Amino acid sequence: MNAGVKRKRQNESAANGGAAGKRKPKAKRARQRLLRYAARRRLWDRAARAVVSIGGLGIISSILLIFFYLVYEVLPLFGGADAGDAEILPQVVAGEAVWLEADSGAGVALRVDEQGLASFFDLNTGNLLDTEALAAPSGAALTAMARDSAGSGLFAAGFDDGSVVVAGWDAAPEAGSIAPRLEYPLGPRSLAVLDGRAVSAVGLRSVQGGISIAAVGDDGPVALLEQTFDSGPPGLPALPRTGAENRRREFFVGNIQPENILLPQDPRWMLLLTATGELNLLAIGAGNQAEIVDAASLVPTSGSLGEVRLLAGGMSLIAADHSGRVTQWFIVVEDGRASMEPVREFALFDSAIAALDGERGRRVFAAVSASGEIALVNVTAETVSFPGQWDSPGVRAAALAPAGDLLLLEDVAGSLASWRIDNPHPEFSLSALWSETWYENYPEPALVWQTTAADDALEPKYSLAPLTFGTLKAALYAMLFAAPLAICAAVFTGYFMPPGARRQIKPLIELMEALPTVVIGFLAGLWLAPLVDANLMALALGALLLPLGVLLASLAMARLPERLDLEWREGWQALALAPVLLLAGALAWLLAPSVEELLFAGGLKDWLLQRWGLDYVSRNALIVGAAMGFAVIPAIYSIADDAIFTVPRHLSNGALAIGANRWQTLSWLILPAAAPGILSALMIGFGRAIGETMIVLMATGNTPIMDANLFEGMRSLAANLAIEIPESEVGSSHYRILFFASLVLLLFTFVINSAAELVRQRQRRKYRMI
Amino acid sequence: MKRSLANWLDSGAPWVWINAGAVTLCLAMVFALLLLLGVKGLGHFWPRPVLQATYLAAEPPATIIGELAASETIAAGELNPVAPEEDQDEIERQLLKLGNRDITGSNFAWVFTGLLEDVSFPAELAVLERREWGNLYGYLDGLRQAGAAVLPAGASDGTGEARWSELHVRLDRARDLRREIERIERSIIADINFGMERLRLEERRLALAGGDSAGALRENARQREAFDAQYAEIRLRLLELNRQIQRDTALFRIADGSVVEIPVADIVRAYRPNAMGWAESLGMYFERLMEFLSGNPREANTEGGLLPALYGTAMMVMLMSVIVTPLGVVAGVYLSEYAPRGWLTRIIRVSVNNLAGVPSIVYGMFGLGFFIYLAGGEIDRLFYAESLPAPTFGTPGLLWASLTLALLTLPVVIVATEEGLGNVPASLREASLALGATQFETLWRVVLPLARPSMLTGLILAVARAAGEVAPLMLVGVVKLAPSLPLDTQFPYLHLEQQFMHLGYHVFDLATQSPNVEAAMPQAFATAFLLVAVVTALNLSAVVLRGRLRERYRAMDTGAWV
Repeated sequence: MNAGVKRKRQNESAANGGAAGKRKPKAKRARQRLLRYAARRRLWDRAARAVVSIGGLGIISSILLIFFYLVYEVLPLFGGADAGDAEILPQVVAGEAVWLEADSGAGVALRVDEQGLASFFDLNTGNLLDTEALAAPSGAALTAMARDSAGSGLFAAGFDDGSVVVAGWDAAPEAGSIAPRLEYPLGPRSLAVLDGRAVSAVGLRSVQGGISIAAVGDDGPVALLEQTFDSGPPGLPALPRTGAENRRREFFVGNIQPENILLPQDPRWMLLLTATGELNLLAIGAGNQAEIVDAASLVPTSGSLGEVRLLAGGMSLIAADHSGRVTQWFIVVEDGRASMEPVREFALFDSAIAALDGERGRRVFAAVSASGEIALVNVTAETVSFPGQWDSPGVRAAALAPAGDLLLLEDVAGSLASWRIDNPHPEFSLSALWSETWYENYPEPALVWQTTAADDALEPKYSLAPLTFGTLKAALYAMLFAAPLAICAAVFTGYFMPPGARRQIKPLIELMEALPTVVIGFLAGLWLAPLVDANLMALALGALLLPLGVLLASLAMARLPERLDLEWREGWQALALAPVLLLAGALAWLLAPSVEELLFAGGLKDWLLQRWGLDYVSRNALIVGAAMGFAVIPAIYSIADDAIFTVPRHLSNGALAIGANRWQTLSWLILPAAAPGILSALMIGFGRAIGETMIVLMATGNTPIMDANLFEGMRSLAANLAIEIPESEVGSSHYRILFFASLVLLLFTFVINSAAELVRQRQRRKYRMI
Repeated sequence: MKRSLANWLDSGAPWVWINAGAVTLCLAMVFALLLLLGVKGLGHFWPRPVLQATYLAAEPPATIIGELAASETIAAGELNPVAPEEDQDEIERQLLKLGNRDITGSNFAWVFTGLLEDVSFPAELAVLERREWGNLYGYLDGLRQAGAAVLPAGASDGTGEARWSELHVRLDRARDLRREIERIERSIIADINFGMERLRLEERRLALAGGDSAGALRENARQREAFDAQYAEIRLRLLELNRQIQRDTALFRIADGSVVEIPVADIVRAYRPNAMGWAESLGMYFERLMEFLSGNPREANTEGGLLPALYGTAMMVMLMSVIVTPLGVVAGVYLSEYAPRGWLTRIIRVSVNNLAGVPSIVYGMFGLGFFIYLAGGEIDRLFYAESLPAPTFGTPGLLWASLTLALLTLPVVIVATEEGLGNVPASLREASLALGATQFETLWRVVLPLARPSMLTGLILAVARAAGEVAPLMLVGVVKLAPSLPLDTQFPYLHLEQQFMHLGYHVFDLATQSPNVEAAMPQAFATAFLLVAVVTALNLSAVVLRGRLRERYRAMDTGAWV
């Protein structure tokens, strides 16, 4: 159309111009100027359209970017482990490795052979960097080795003269150059743990300020040597100070002949594994007492036992067997009785598991089958991924780098293969996020949220269930408080109140929405919580007396002589009720002590605890419900009031005309018509309550427990975000799981708001038809 | 009677009344909350009488001096240990603010009212507000100048008054000196520090860039020497001022009879509440109110003023408005005027509307992850490589907080703009088009001017929401105590990367992170009241504006064009 107009104008101007051009050059110039002006206007119009459209769409899409950004942060959680291409190195050192470790940062591996000769070699080139003999007593032969269950990187080597050497290694002791060497935190000396008998099995545990070494010979007692330091952290750089004390104890364990000793992080226990695959749990007492409290067979019904390890954290034991399965065990103490329990089983391969190694920080282990298949498993989340395979004649040793980013395998031919592993988020699985998980130190599977950024030894527990429960609990109690009040108020102002009065009252109630939630949270936590704590009875009584007072007032008004003007009663009841409410409140306050004395022997809280087992915490769901209810009342009220008010008046007039009274009209006609609007109001209020942060943060103790008790606290998803995200490491699993939680919040509120909007629009369309 | 009761039930009157009760209760809650905040928040500045009494529960009975902070009546059974008077069911006890925290270790104590004897309110009892350790209550016992007594102690009443006015003379002197010290510290020393930091960064930049930089380094070294010399000079001046300000001390006799010596420089304010009349109290009230509004916080934010928080809130809100207004208006205009009518637009509109209901903490998460770590980290790598690993923009700050809140309030502005544009009577639009105006001209000359007030309403609502929002800010920029204001005299004057203080976060901090909750409560109430007052005023203005607008449109539609 535009183009048509333009052409027409051009024709006109051409015609006019041709005729008048000679006669009136001035007029022609003016016309041309006008044309140019028109063209400029059209250009402006088009430019404005383009700018606004592009800008508008850009702005809107940048808000929607939030959603995509959250997804982008969450997506890496769902990726499994990846391994790069294998780097195959030909045989570096002859002989069989009894010990293999890899340092991914420096790219150096340590390999100890049967003679106790440690060789360091470059993982990228396969060059032998250095060889160094373990500081063994002269003439002694290496008979057993064990790693530190605390994951410090230390290991213990036992010799046939009964001595043990504790060593570690450092790939680059001096910054800048790679010059790997062995290090001895207790000095390059051997400790006589067994007196002269050859060490057949050894165990090592480092703790804050000390090292424990357990060793056993072919017969005789198990010896436990505890070397205490004055101070200093465990690990490589810590050297025992002077005055270090050592204590040696011997425990007789009957006819058990341990082939493997494992020292869990908890110093009360020692695990003894026999050659027949029987695991004995030794409880260590104060002195020389020790007792086998439980024994379990690790040997599966089919197949035989393979390698056995302690996982990171030193609490869980993993046992591989020859039918391709790995079983996780840990010590469970229930009612004072300790036992070894099989917690999880991972059926990984069809063939036997040839080698096994764990990370030092996370509960992740790598298992390799005899045919070279690799599996990476996180036991807590039960995530299993198969990042690669090595086609080799048979794997005999595996080493996973401490941070789990490199895997080194050795096969029977002595050649080596290494993989860069990318396994950023093994702790995440959707099932572990929502379902009961059996954690270390727990007697049974549980839903727990406990992130431990500070301490690696504790298993991080990512279950969103307690947080979701807390969120819903807070929101539901808030709705219990807010919904009746808001809807009743909306019914009154939307239907009974004269429009003039409604215009005055509605903004006042809506003003509640403007109150910053931090102020509401502050008042709830520091003013309301102690007040309710001290006056619980008065509150309970008030909840009873207020409606009673209102009803009595109504009855009194009904008996009032008719000549009093009806007009003010129709709608101004609200004002008349203010003194009634005040009176009822004061009455509740005054009566509370005597009623409490009479009914609950002077203590409502004691009675609740004794009669119903309800614990009373000062900052509880009641406080949150009231405070958050207060905050969502305006949202519900405003929409519900609109829904009731916009029901066409002629419907109501019709009903009144055929003799229904106002209340009947309301309950049979107006409310059903406005029901969708009221429903959408409730949904919006609920969505608001779900996402509210400050009130829950300030008015509860923020303990992530699952207890529906009105008088207990909770921790909500939103409050949890505010508490934990500033301390979580960028890009870590914890960080991404928190983003996952925020995505859940976003989606939930978005869906609920959209549904509410849909309901509302449908209702509006219906009215338009009426 | 029975029939009338049935009638009463049938008429539905009880239900109507219950509904009315709900309205009353809602209103009562709003007013009660505002009243509570007002009384507690504004009452905080009124000087309270200080009582002196003998407390019998102490062994041996001791004199106590303190301000009454709260009182309550509790059941005897709830007391632990057992109440001192067994025959009573209920016991009244009072919370006294004893002050003298540096001497006695505690600031507040609950005492049983019944065990207070010889309660009096001596006129000479003085309250000292101090820079550190909170209040001190006691009697002025003497003044010293450089260790020597100024007026002989223990003389008649006349000397007491003379001493008191002499104290004020010396307080004024100390205040002037302090002002001078602060001026030097804030402007000259800050300039030097800023210059030194600039030199350090420049050297680092040169080192990063590589190449020959000997000349520039020499120049830097010269400048550094100049700064050092200037600093040495200023330091001497500061030392001298500090020596001068420490000259005077005042002796106070406190509750236990001992005399403590307080440097006059440590006293913010000294007054004798029991001797003050109504007018004097009012003067003191406004003096303290002014300090609250224009002073810096003291004592871990529990005393003093909240100028930095007010300033930070205002800066953040202004910056946010500057960002959100054009963006919101353009998006709103697009949706209302240019977007094709169809299901896609409808979905977009609903989505934008719903984004206003997304929890604010989610926006905070977005701000933290996207703005700070992603965008800020990238900016640091590209433009601030010399100060790495210390982040410049890759850390919470004013800019990111403003951007996050702009995003949070964008739906509010968009919806308000759209609503305003939609409400402009179609007749006006058609008239403009019929006269040959283009769509843009109609929009620019006719529709937008008419919709301007509703856009303003949207902006006011956005500002009100931003001023009261705390949860996202905790992630993207607020701090408990900011060392400097985000707008100052140092180039580039507006420090977008700096963290700032915020009224709402101030309330949160005082309420939950304060080591001494009782001491922090009055300040928390006052801050909360201020915040509520600001937000309520903004909202009410939006309501009024909207109401007026509605009237005008109605007038236009009915043809009564004014």
